[in-house]
Amino acid sequence: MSITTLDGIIGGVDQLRSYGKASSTAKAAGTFQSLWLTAGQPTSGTAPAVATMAIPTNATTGAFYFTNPTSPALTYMSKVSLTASTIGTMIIYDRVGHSGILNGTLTTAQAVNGSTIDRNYTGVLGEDVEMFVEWYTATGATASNITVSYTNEQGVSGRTTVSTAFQATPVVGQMLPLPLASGDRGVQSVQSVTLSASTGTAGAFGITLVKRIAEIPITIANGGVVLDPFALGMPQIKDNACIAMMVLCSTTSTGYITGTINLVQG
Amino acid sequence: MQVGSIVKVLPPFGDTYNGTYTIVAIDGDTYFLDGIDGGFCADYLEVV
Repeated sequence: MSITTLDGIIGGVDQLRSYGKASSTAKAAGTFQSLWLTAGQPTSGTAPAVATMAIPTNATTGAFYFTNPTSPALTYMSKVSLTASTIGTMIIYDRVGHSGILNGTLTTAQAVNGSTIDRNYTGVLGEDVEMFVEWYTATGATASNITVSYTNEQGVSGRTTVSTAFQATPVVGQMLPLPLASGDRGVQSVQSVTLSASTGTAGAFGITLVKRIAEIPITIANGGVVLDPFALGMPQIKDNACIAMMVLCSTTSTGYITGTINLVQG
Repeated sequence: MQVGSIVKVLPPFGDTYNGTYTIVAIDGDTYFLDGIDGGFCADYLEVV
């Protein structure tokens, strides 16, 4: 079953969830900043305690809580309202996989492995899934490069991300997008991470796999914006999705962010 | 290897940086190459 009419939106089972996140220190304009560890509502998540890829869900601390629909009903995002004290772009995403405790001083391949993602948004598992580095404790100041070995959306293992400059002196919560190998359209799983040089400080970082759901432009500080079902495109939310947020920053802080999300099921 | 040496970058980084590069600075165990932002340890470089 699916929602295909306005009556379906109006008559569907609605779950309203409010959110409010404290301002986080960001690295700079043009960087991504995760709100996973940021205090507020939903309550802050925790840094993954192992390097192994895990599959967070709607029951994981830090995620928006929602109740899965009764099959065959589906869940959609039908409205988002947002007010933020700093200009930027808020990205709402399903955190389809995450890992942690990777070391910023090791130059050998660090194993990740673990789970293959299990939420299939497009009919091709892993398609449209993006890969980010996420810092849980800052690594060091020496500039290096990073590559990640992964399995793409076709199930082909041994793929390698384009070598990317690893952020020197990152801030906690910073996220760094990693371009996939030419021709790849997504990620099913991650095998290992390699740094080209020691950053000088172990810190702790992980790989986060992201399936974007919506982007909300924040063009006026404290101005507020509401996106209705048509502006959002009624993106589907998979059962058990770990809905989380990050910000594409315009400055060195995210600003206070608050609003509501409506999920409709039918 | 020293400043001025010509090197190639080994896999997995060599998949992206597949030319030859000049070492322009050395900081401890980290070598910096002309035109590449981040440094490399010796394990990923080979003098040509």
